[in-house]
Amino acid sequence: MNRGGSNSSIAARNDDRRIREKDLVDRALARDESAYSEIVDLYKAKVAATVYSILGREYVEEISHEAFMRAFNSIERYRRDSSFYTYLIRITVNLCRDEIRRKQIKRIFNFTEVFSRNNDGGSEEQIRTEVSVDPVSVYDTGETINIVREEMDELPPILRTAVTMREIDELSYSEIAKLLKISVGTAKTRVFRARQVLRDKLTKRLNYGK
Amino acid sequence: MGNSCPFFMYADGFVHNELSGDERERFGEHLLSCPVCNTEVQKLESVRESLEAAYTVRLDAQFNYSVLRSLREKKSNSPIGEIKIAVEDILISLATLVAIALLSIQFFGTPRVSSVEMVGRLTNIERSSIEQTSLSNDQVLELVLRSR
Repeated sequence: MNRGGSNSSIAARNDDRRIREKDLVDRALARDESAYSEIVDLYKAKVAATVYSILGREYVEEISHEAFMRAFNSIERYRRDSSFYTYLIRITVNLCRDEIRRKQIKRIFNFTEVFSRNNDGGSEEQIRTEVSVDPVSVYDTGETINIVREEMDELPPILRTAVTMREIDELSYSEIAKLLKISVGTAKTRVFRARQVLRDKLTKRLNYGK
Repeated sequence: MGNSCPFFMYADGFVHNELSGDERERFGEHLLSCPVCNTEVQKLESVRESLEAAYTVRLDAQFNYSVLRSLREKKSNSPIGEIKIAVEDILISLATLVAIALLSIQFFGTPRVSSVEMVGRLTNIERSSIEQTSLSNDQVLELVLRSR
């Protein structure tokens, strides 16, 4: 059993990132344009994965772009009480939450439209299919990955956001709590609940985690 | 969230590398003899790995370029950028005005002798000739200059 090998490499990667980040932020504050590009290189995969997980593939470029723009435009206001990475993820998650609100409003209107069509002869199945957002994107590479994405999409946004911040963004519970303005206990509960739902559903579909 | 094993709560911190060196070492040893915690660690790692695999996106160099370009555009459209442009416009306008003024002085500022003054400098013969004609000062002056 090689417990801890992958975790140690994660820790080493995070330490390197923090050291590099400090230097890059100093240079960015001194208006060194190459530092901005290096920060994008360092964090774009994480930001993109966050957007993909919370919102969907079709939002990745637009929301990631906006997140970096907002972070850079307000870099002078960035206080070093947290890492720049955490600051960037907070902006990304806030943008995703704004988009979810917009989507929910849009869904209400779509539902009204579909419902009125149903009165003209459409089936319940048609309503369900048309109202839900297609979780499978053209970038999928395997059945397992598709199923994971489908089940993540089924999670309520608050659980999906919490588990994304924990598993994809690798934030601590206290960081998640601070960013979402909830208690550490609530952050833990949301992550635990999200994992539990995911595990149960994936186990049923994939014989997963046994 | 609880479980029968008292060390169960360490599993999450272990997977996310949040335990201290000592805690990590002790929990690692515990895993060798505890199937409950061992299973939990495996499940947590499976969730994390599945999510990482499901949401890997590659954004190419074009994305970096796009962010930097927008940043530059934003800076040039910022209030400071607009102030800079306004100051430049004012300076260019001032420079143009100064250049026009200098050229005007050069062109119009040269002392000129009016026709009346010129007539004042004529000889007595010339002046008496003028007085006998009905020509204007300018016409007389032109004739005098031609004759000289």
